[in-house]
Amino acid sequence: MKKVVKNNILNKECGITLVALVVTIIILLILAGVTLNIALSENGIFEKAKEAVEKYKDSSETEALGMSVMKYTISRDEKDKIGEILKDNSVDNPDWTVIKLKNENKQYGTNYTYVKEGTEIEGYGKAKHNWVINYETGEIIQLDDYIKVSSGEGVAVTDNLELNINPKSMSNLDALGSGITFISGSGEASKEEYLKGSYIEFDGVDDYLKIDNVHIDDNGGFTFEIFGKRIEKNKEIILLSKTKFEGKQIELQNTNFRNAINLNNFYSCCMGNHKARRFISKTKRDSRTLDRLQN
Amino acid sequence: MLFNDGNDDFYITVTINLGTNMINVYYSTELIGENQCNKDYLDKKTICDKNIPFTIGMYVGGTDPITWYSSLKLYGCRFYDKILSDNEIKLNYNASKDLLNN
Repeated sequence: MKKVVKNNILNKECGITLVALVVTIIILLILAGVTLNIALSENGIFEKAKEAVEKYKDSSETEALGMSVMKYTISRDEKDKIGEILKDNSVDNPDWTVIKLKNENKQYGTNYTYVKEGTEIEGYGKAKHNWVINYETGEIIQLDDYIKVSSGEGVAVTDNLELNINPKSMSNLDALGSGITFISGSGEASKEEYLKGSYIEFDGVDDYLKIDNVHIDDNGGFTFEIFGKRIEKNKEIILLSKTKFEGKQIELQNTNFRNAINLNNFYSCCMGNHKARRFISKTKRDSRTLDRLQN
Repeated sequence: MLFNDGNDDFYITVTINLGTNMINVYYSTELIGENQCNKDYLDKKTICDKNIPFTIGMYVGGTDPITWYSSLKLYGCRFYDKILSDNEIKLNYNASKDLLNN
């Protein structure tokens, strides 16, 4: 009897109940979940570490550009400037080039240089961002949404210029520009498919340009310029439209005002808001287009 | 008529006044059309919505909606966040017209 009692006491002291085990496991799982969330979430430790690395790299790039400015300040030798020299659009500068910020009526010209992504920076390597530098004031500005415009690109007016597509100057570029996509059929086409020397070719079957992020101020108005050559006589040239894309579906956002713009059925410009919004599938509209062309 | 003259080149400028809904169309530098558009057809909210892209060479329309595409060679296109004056349109035309000969 004495031995049995002793064993019971030992059991109570040394064992844990199943409930306690389950509770412990649940607590551990919760802690693991919280830890993983802190580490891997969008604002987690890893993401913050990545951001910190990027910021460090950016600051290194800025420092390297700053060193370049210092070098020029001491030497005053034009060879020590990095990037392309910019010039204001004026009668004194027939060969002008400016950088214009989109969404802001601001441009950088005379006294600035344009450092494009990939430009070699002494003591640093290739630039990972686009910059303008003022070597006189030491101003170093990272560019985000911008366009480069020059006298060779047929533009005389640069004030409030939001977009400039010039195929002739595109041969050295990797793409049309930020926010501009050439679509052929169901997807984005490669530059080789649409760029034919000094123009972009639309085949009349399923090609079009999609332009995102054009800033239009609702207080005033805007201007759209387009020039080129018709390939098929008597076929309408669709100048401009505004269409909302929803995956493979298109929400009709454009009721045209063709009576105003469509002249002899060659040119049309569509915009506005369709009163009765309808959805059609891309497959359906493409087959209809093909039917129409075949007929 | 202006566009049936056998000349395949085109240089079109369209100015759209969102205050008055007035649309002007220029062929080269000549004003060839102007129209005050119904507000339902010139929806300011849609035009200024940056999330709705502009498209060139394609639109969806008609009572039985179909998609229309252009057959053309594009030598250039521009957007201005302002209404260009007649003089500015001429300046741009004179600066750009030679691009069409390349």
